[in-house]
Amino acid sequence: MEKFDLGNIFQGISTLLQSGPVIMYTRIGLMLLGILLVYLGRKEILEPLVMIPMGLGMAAVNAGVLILPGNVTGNLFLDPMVTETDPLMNILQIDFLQPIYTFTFSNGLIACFIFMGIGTMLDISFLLAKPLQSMFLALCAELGTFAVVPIAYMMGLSPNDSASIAMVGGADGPMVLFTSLNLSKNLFVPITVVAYLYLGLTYGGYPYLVRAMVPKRLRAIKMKPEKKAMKQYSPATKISFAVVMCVILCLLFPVAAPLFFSLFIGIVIKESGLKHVSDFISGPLLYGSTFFLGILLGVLCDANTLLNPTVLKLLVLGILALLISGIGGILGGYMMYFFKRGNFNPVIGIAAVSCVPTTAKVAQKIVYKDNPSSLILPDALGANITGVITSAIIAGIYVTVMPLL
Amino acid sequence: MNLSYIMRETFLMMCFAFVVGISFAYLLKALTFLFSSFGSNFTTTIHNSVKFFNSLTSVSKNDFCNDIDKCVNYGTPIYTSQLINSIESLAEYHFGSDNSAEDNAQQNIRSMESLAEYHFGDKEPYIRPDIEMNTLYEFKHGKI
Repeated sequence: MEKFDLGNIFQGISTLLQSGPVIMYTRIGLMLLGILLVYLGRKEILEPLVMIPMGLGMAAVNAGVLILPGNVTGNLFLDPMVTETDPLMNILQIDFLQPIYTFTFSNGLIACFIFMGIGTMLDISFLLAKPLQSMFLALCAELGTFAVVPIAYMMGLSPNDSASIAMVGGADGPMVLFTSLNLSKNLFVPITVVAYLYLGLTYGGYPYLVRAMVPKRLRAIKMKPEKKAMKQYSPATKISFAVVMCVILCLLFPVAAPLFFSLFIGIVIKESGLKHVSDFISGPLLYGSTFFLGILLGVLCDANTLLNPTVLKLLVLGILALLISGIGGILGGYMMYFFKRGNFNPVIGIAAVSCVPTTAKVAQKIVYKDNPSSLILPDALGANITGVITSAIIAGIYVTVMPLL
Repeated sequence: MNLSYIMRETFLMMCFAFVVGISFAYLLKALTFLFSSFGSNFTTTIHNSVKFFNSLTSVSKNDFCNDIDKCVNYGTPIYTSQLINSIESLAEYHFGSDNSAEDNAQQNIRSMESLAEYHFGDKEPYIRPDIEMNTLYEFKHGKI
């Protein structure tokens, strides 16, 4: 009759009841949080593409805990802590998501795939139109990425972990994943989860920040058109620019070369007119990678990982980084407003926070509400796209310099 | 290592990023100037020259077209459209599609829409239960 012990049959419930109260309540809490993320993703309050698979993964991994040989509890999804070759070979044959985790996630390949997809959707002519203005705004909008490093260190994090969580200020998910994989092997799961949770909020949160910092009179500014019309670049010219930029950035920051290469190969493929390759990268590859990224992020959120007391600090620091970056962007917008003697809408500054194209759309939406005849989208997109490059530059600096401190 | 050391190092990294970023922007400006001083068709000319050189040394799109004519002349028109399609795909596979006629503005809008769709999902009502059920049935039992 021992075989028919209900505890053996329904191991998810028995492991829940047998574990200590902290683990039990955390598991229940994470299951509920997972369901909530699916709901919020479906309602488009958070980014559905990541949140729906992530939420379901989170709920499933915390529900599906079982007793493994050796009387230890675990799951059949994946084991992120295996590093030795022999146990890894065994786990690869047992845990169904382990191959995807080992061969695409833990080496940053999935982040590069997403970057390739983003690259095929970017148009660098916005960046080429006003490179100095776009770069200045993008650098200002990285204020949170720098300001949070000493704050995080003050709160007890190591310099590497401080740099990883500060990257949330760059508002670029794959970049945070790439940096934390390189710098914070032990904390990259909570850092990436925090980053993706907050990035979904930029669409809803930044308009309040803009309205708080920029008065209606300035939000409604309609910029005078340039004397010269915006130059249209041929695909061949854009390819040349992308190739030169890629080579220079790879020369400067070899540690971030995979990211630069992935971004610029996307741009080059798009401009080369290789339609089928472009469709593949911007379609199945991008969506497939994002889907698996969402699932992996959810599955990595098991109770034992998130019970780390550092997670609370990361939650505070993540939102702080995004907030300071937003403030920096708007201050950059103000500076540009003074440089250009009033012929600049400071709201464009928020678009320099590199969440492509969310923040550019947010900026245009806010301005449109106050002055329907004001069009800032081209300038906003220029700053937005430059923000991606700036974040990659800062990731390169952090990954190179932080381990030397 | 203490807080002031971290603050100093972070500040230095910030200054370094600023210098690199601004130099990068100037480099872009210089490149733009370089390309415009060579004339707007500078890179296109190079691109075309490379294509011409390639056509001398390898099989080109036109060679395929001649073959199509032969096929039609020899009275095998049944597969001609399929042949043309497959040859066009093959030629496109090797040479890329010609999107010169595509309007730039439209392309930008499409890129924006794809990016927005990437973040927030497709707004179109894509759930069509009947079609999905048919596909599922076909997957299990073959063509209806």
